[in-house]
Amino acid sequence: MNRELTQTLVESASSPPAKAIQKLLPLVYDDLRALAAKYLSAERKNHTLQPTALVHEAFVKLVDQSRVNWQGRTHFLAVGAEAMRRILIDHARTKKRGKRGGGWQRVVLEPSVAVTETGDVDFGALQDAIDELAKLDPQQARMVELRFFGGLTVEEVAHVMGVSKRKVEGDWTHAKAWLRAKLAAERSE
Amino acid sequence: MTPERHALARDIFLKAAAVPRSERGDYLVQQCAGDEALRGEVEKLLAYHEQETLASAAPTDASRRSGAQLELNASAETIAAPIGSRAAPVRPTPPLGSGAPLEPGTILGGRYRLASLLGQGGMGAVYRAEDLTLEQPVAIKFLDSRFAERSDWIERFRNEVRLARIVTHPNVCRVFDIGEADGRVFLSMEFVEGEDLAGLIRRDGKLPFEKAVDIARQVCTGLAAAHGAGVLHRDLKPANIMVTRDGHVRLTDFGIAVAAGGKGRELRAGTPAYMAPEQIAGRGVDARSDIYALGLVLYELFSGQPAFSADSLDEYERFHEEEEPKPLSSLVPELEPGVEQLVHWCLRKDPNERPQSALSVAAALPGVDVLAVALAADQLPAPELVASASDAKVRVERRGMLTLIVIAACVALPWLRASSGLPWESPGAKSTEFLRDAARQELAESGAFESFGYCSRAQAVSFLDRFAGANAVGGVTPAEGEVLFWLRTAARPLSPQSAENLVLGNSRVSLLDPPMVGADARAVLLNQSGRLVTQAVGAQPRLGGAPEGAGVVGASLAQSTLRLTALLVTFVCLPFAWRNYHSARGDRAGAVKASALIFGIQLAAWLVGATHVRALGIELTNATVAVLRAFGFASIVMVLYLALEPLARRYWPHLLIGWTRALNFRGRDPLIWQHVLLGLALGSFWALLWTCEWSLVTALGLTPHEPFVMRQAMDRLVGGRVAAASAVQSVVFGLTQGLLFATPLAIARAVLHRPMPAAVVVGLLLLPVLLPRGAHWATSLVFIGGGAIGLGLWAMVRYGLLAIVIAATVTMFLNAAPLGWQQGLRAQGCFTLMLVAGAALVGWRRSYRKTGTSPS
Repeated sequence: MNRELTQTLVESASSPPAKAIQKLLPLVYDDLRALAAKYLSAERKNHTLQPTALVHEAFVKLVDQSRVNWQGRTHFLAVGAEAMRRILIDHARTKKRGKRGGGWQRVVLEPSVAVTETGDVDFGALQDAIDELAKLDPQQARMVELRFFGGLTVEEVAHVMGVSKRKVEGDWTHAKAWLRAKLAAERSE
Repeated sequence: MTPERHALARDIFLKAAAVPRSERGDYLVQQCAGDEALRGEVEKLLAYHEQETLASAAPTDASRRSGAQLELNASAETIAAPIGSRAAPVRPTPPLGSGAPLEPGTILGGRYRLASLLGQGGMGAVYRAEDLTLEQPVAIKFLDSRFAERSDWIERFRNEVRLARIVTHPNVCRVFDIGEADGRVFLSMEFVEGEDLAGLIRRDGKLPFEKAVDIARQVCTGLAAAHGAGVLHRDLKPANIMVTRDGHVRLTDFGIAVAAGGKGRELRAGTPAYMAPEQIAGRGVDARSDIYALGLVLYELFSGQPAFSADSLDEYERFHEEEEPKPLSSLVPELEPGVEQLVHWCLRKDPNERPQSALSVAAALPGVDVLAVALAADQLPAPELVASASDAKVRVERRGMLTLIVIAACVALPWLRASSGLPWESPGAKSTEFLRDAARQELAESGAFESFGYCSRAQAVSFLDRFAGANAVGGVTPAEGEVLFWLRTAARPLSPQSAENLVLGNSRVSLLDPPMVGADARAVLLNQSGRLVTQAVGAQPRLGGAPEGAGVVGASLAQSTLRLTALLVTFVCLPFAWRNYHSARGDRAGAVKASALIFGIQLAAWLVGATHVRALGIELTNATVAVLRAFGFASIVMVLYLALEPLARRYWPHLLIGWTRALNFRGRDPLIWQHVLLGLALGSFWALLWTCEWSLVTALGLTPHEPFVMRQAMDRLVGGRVAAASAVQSVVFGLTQGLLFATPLAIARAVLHRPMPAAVVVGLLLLPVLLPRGAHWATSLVFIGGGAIGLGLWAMVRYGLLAIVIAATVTMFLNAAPLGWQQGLRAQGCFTLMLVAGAALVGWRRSYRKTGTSPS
């Protein structure tokens, strides 16, 4: 239970999400990384990681839920998503391997956001695809990150990004198809 | 592709997705206005969009690849479905029938806090959760709402859970509890951190051979354990096999899948790709259906592909009932043929033709010690399984060295024995023939009937006490512990009368039995050099009271205690023997063989070695007693074997491999000969040790005990038939010693589980029992304790019962023989040594085995 984190969450609940996220990120990053460490250790290289589960677990473990409302929770998840993504990229770099290939981290996506039949995907490939998407539409890419790594719902994404729910739905549907196509092409290379 | 085109493509894509499929083509042409690249892009997006919509309508777990499960998922989760607002961080479970997935953080039933969704099973979602009461991770599996509505299904589910809870085994995922919260039924199970086999295979393709065998072995073990507890799986498939990071296997969802299903054809539960033909046809399932599923799992393990791939239930039904899967060797050419055979054996359509137990499957896996599997699965392996156990634990080595040990012992013994101080090996001892002639000369006249033999000084003293006084003419006083020669004559035929002699002895006329009665009865006692000790004439028959034959057999206190204990144990074992005889537990064939062997030996020994008289009445009586005695011993052996052998087979089956094979002896079994050779070497070494101990005690000037083989040695000295009968009885001794070692070991292992501590405990227990066999208390601790018991336990653990039985037989055979070198070997001794050495040579020859061949 991280008191400082809980306090910050409570205080920043009413502030705009962008600012809150900025404040929270350093607080969340280390704890989340510690939590993720065991999933990322060398011996587990054949195992899969479920980022949203980790973020949720972190929320349950670090935050005093009786004090935080839904906005605070949403902020946490958004931060968690960002932190999770960075942790995975960091991990990739320290490993000094190519971002592809066997032994690389596989990431398991929630059934509702799965973009492959099997539900899990090579992280490197995913990150590359998201990077490409970011070049074409950074906002859409951010949406994707929030959903993939934080498990935020459509409403929560709308709140965090300050856009309409309809926009999020449409962008998301498109992004999914786009990513599917990208990852399929990727695999067949 | 630029951001602008990207946004444009998105726009068109979203609109086109909303348009009915039939009109899409036209719509696209219209919207793209000749930009073919753009149209291509949008079409591609639409295609993937469609794919996803279809895919998300089917179950998302691994079994999807192998065909849709029979129970269709309640609602297809479409992409844009709202997951539900998150108004509060902690909330109770949603109301029944909502079908909405629960979110992490939810507290279930006030006890479990859901952490994350692990996957979507065929019956419902599976979550990882924290048991707040016990503070440990668990897996929560929900029973899908449409099942939860039917009360009869809930009851079946409960029954199945009750059954599944019985199985506690490292290879089976434990079911803890069944619960209900807000209308949702769920199971709490052991949380296994790992991946299911389906995922492993999907990702890595076929597994490396060693790993596949290891996983297969563990699956068989878990399955055997569950079957042993009476629980069927009925939905065995790669998705239900979890593998942890360190390669540990756990089976999940035992029987549960079935409980969730109904009875009708459409609602039959299970995964069609992995259902046995009788299961799919609804003809009823049993353990063999699980074996069929096991075969399919093995198929996939070793080849990376499922055996059958189809699109509909009917097609699967046809595959399972009629078609054969592609031969494994066509998919994996380098696969060991034994494995392919095994897998296809499991996949026979007729359940009666499949392996009947998971243990049999494990037995056929290469390099698997099936007895270890049986132990791990807490199962009692059948005797056939023990006999055919893989030779992984059997040593081929050192047959040359073992033979040399035997030969060396045979050469060394005569030399060592001469100076050992054993009573019958005294220097200057004359041959039996010489002594007999000398005794005859001492007698003024000889009667019609004559008998002769050897006796201990104690027996001579007892004899003199009875017939001392006026009737005896004294000569040389025998020294302490000396062995004496006696000769008796009488006018009438002499025949043993003492009950003790007839039942426990060799049924032969001795110095004390029958007692010297009547003036025609005469006896002469000489010492081994031929000097007269005493001469006696028969006493007058005493009024009343038959003379006791006490002291005839000369059993020591230790021996009597041992015999009494054996009788007691036999009585205690009677009910167990009875039960084992009637159930499948006991090894009936083996028990019959063992007791028949004992019976034959005892009878043969009597025929050959006892005193036979022409008087029909007496002879018949003695014969009856002999047969009864043989029968009695055989019965005791039968009871003990039926009662105790399953104990050994259950807790320490490796002890019995050689023994069981020997009972089903086929001449060309190198393994048996290896054990025999080891037994010979060990036995000769023991004889050597024993002789050395005696030499040491004599050299130190200590007073030794009476040798524990005294009675047998006396018989062996006589030579001829009597010696042969006694020699054959060594086998009985060997068998009893084997039993003495094996039974406590099995019990100790049952209690202590590990072989080493069990052996140590048994060693300590046997110490007081076996120490009296040594020459002297002081030296016995080393020689008997270390040498005999220590080596014996080691040999038992490494080789098994057969080796110990042979060793004990050889020891008795050698120890009781007159081997000492005095101007040459006695014929008896010579024969004994040649027999042992010859057996070693035969064993050396026969135990040769080319590496890699296993006995058929």
